[in-house]
Amino acid sequence: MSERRFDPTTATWVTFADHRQGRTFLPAQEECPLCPTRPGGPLTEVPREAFEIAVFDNRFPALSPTAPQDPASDGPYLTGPAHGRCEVVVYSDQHDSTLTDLGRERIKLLVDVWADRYDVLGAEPGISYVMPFENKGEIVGVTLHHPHGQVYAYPDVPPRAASKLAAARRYHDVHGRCVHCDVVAHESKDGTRVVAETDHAVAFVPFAARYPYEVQIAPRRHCPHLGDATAQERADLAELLHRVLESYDRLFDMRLPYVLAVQQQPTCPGPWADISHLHIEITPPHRTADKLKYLAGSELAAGAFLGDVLPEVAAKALRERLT
Amino acid sequence: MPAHDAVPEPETAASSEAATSPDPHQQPVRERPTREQTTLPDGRRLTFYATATPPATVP
Repeated sequence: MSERRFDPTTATWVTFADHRQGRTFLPAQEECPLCPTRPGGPLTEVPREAFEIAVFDNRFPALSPTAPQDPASDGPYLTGPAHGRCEVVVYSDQHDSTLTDLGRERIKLLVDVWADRYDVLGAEPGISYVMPFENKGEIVGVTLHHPHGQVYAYPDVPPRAASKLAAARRYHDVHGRCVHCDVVAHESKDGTRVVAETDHAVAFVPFAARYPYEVQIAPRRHCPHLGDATAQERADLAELLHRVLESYDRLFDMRLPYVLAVQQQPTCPGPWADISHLHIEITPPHRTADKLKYLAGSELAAGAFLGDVLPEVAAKALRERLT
Repeated sequence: MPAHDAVPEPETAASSEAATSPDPHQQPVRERPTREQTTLPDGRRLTFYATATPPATVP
């Protein structure tokens, strides 16, 4: 059963998908469903002996194009179908690899895959927002170790994206410019929070980062989504992503867990183009090698983040670990 | 023949950059990845992507 419920006290939708409780959880390598199907072996989700990147519909989707439920109301409450798409993006046929290990050329291909899935899913009926993402590490909830990410296609613009777009609209109304364009230009000029930069893109720790080693990667040019990026911009995004991930793994001499998400223009009609600016957000939960940044009272209950590491200090630490 | 054994037709992944880029001079002659679409036995979509082979250079 999947359904969405609208909370009238916060004006947000929550998706329930109780069938996901039974999904595959940290299987042994020989039972990995994301490995290629080997001769004589069990049929996996990828029935081919070798591949570069494979994308398929999640067997346990939270959102589905065939979600059966009609909208309904009960007093102050609304429920609706959990309409959308959930895809799995397998980065490699090598079980023990990581996105960092796979290198810049594979990350370039992944960026092109993200662009294509944005086009494919964004063109489907009832899809308003397409977000590629990756959960890396058990500590952020990964259930399969094989290197992979996901793409969710939502029926509306999800809360964090909506909040950022509203802020961008307010900024544009006052200054007449895209806030992300101004931020990227300022970060590059200032330099203290820059981790790495190229001719076409900048990787930096946000001025008001929520997590200690949070990094954002964005093109310098106003570019609403990956389909709008030039080949050189995509290559630069891939290069910076690879360099940041390498730096992460050197930060505490461990494979640093993170949540990675690609934020782009909504795919539903609307006045998005002047305020949407493609950016990749990477959020590691660690603040030291053995301590996590938890969402505790202030963050979870008040929505007010408290920082443990100044962004300038975090950026310097990451810069020092670049190759 | 199982659905996933069907020989998929290679495609070139499309994108909408040509219609939306503000600077056509920056548009590349892009090496787009190849895309092969097929389906899993239960009907779910499966797409393989591979690095495009650079086009042959015409002297």
